[in-house]
Amino acid sequence: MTPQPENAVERDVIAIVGEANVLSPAPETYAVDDRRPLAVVFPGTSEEVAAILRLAHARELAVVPIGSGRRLSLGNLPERVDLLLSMRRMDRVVDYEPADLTVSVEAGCSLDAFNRIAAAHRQWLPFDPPDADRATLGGLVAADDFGPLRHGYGRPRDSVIGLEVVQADGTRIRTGGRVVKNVTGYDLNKLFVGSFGTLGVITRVNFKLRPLPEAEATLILFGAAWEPLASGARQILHSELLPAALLLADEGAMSPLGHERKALLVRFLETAPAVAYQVERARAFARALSLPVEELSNEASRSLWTTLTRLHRLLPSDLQLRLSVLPAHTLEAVRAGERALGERLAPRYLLAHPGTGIVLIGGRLILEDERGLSSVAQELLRLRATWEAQRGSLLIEQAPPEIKRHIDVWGNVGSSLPLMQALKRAFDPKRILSPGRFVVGL
Amino acid sequence: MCEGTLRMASWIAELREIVGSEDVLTDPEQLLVYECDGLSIHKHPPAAVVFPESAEEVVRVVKVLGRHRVPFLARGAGTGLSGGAVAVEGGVILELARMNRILEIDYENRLAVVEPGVINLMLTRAVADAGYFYAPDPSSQMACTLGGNVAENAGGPHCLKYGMTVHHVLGLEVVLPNGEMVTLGGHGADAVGYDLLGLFIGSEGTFGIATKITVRLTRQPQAVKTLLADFLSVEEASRTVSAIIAAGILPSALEMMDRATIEAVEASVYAAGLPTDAGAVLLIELDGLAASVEYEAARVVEICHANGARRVLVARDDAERARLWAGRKGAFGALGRISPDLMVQDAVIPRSALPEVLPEIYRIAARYGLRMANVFHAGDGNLHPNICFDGRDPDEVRRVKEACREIMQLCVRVGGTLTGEHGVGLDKIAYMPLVFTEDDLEAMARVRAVFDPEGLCNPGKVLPVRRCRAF
Repeated sequence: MTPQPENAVERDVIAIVGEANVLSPAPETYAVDDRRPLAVVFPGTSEEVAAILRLAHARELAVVPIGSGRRLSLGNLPERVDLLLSMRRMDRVVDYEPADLTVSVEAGCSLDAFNRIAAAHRQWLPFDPPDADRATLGGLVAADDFGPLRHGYGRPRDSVIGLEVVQADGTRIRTGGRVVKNVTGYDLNKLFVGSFGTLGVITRVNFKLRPLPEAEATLILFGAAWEPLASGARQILHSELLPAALLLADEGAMSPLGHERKALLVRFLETAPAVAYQVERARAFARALSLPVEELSNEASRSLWTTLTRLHRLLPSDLQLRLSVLPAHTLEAVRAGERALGERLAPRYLLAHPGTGIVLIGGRLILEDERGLSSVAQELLRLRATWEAQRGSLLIEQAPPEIKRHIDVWGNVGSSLPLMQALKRAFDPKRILSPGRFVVGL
Repeated sequence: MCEGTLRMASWIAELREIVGSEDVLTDPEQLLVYECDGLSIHKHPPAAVVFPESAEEVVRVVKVLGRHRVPFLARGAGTGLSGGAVAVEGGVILELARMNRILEIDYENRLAVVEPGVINLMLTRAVADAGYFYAPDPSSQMACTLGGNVAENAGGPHCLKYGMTVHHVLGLEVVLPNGEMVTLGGHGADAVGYDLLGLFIGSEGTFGIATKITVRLTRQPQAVKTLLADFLSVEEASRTVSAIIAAGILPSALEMMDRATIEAVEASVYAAGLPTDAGAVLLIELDGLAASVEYEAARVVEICHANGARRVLVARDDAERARLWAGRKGAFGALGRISPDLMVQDAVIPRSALPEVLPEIYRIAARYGLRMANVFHAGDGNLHPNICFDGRDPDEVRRVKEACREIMQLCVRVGGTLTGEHGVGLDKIAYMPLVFTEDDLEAMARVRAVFDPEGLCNPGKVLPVRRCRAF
């Protein structure tokens, strides 16, 4: 990259979006790991996004697109960051068709804001990622981020039906469409969903929606050890029940809810008679395992799950891992995670989704000195190697820069790496979109 | 000419060495079977057909063809309906029917690993006793292969609730067009990096050849209820569809058959006792927990009556359910008997537009003097206007093509698209600019060039012309 006179960049972006929509220099809170961008830019339209990218492309400025910045900690250390492109001002619901159960929103539209509108039509987007209350829909899609509801409703990938994307050179394209079933041409939605802003900037998203369930309840099964809780989860998974979420939580994760024991939380979202039926069946499983239970319905249930999405705000953390394993290996992965990190995190929280094989561990690192960090990195690499050998993966969602220097946060891509590299070259040949942050530093 | 023949002879000899002489077909008579798929208006005989029996043989065949710059494509059962599995440039077909083993069934992780030639319904049958099924169920599921389903991102009546093939495939082993083998997706756990799995599914055989498929198995629902509602008009049936969706009910299937379809079905071996005096019938299926199914079925019956249903029949047992479904799934076969050729169209509209668009589609058919029957996935707005015609009559063929173009234009105009489950193949290439801009198509071409830089893998499909923009 040729060095840029900072004020020239600032002048040009102001010419595009106006002075009120540029923060330069960028405040500390917008740092990407240990790098501060030259400026934070808040475009108001996709035309402005395109103009910014044309400028960045011509001058080879590194651009990191963000939604709320909720997941900015996720990624390898950036190679360079010149502009942070915040989609926050682009927050309109462009076209909501309740009769079709579809919506088109701008990328900066928040999940909560849209779900409030959709609730009036008894519809929703069934997503509950960490910090859901801050999530923008564009950010959620760029990260293909999920929470416990993935069990019943899938990931954002499965609900996206169309996108508008501004490519690295400023050309705008549309992918997919506005209908719920579509195989017209290649499904480029899949290319951009989960690509963390490294192939293009998502400016608009079309979703298919779900009817809002009529009733809800959560049954919490408490236990002193993992074994009976995991066994309860397994029985539910192999029964006729259709929980929307199924979550194992350790003492740390349960503490903000005022509980001191491990738990299995089972969420039912269904018609009223089906919720009642399932709660009774789940209670019977608990009785057979001699596990005490607590039942929460409707508002109390919702508020419990909302609290869980905010865990890492309630419990200060600087390290967060996501293990993904075969569902049958969940308990084993929980134990491996505890062994690897149990003594190194305080406070610590662990959540596991036995239906999808996801294990999340987070907390604050206890460190005596710098050597401590490199030994944590070694521990993470060992944990990753163990699970990659069993078809799993380990994603480091958050870590101090000192750890990121020792380790690729994403892990092994496998045999498809050359294809991914070629896609990056084809869509961002000058490497201006979040360079260095994605897998193998793409 | 002479040189061409010699070159051809040399690669054919190489293929024979790999798969054995009897597994390379070159006799024009034998190749006739492979000149089209389920859509008979596109006919292109291949130069040869080979029958590999393993991924390793696929790799070797693809490498030989690449070296000789001979285009190639994979083919399953040839039941596709877009002209996707035909060799337009005199290429070679890799027929994968013999790679039909179910390699692994893992109930604990709810997955199965299969070869691409496994027939869709065979997988469901293999896991049925354990209480599972494979959800995507195209109407051709008794014949179509899972490899073909992956290539087309196949749907079916039940994808209204359960999703398409892309929602049920967890991982793939793929032979790329250059003969390299890669793994896409995970195998039950999440993969790292770009979603190449999602990108590959539905790429219509142009990104490579899947040689191993890991699919999700779904638990059979506790209860299933199938209803048949009969209406005097297509408009009433359409309004009922919209009302069911608007009520927040997600049936597992919501299918419409119009009078022309009913008449054809009732006159055929698929006769299901459908009311031949009805303007349209809806086949509605609800599944899930018994408590929900009962409750929602009662609401659906109410909605049907409120929208003018004359009768709503609730299937009493599995035999009655099976009979209703046999009528629906046999509809294409029944329509196929009426005339020498059948154009099975596929388009999608926003579901609330059904009452407005369907009458317009009938008007288009009438204007061109064509006989049309509609049988389709009404719940997700996926239309299948079928036109009975005689391919030997050039004027009728011209009218079919013009009517199809008008139908496509109409669907796009109301916010819909060209295909919901059959794919673009050869048949819809010309319409692609109706929905995508030059830049959109160019981005697609760039992805294709990443997978197939030489342009040898099922060329001539999906995209209008080869284009690739340099940045």
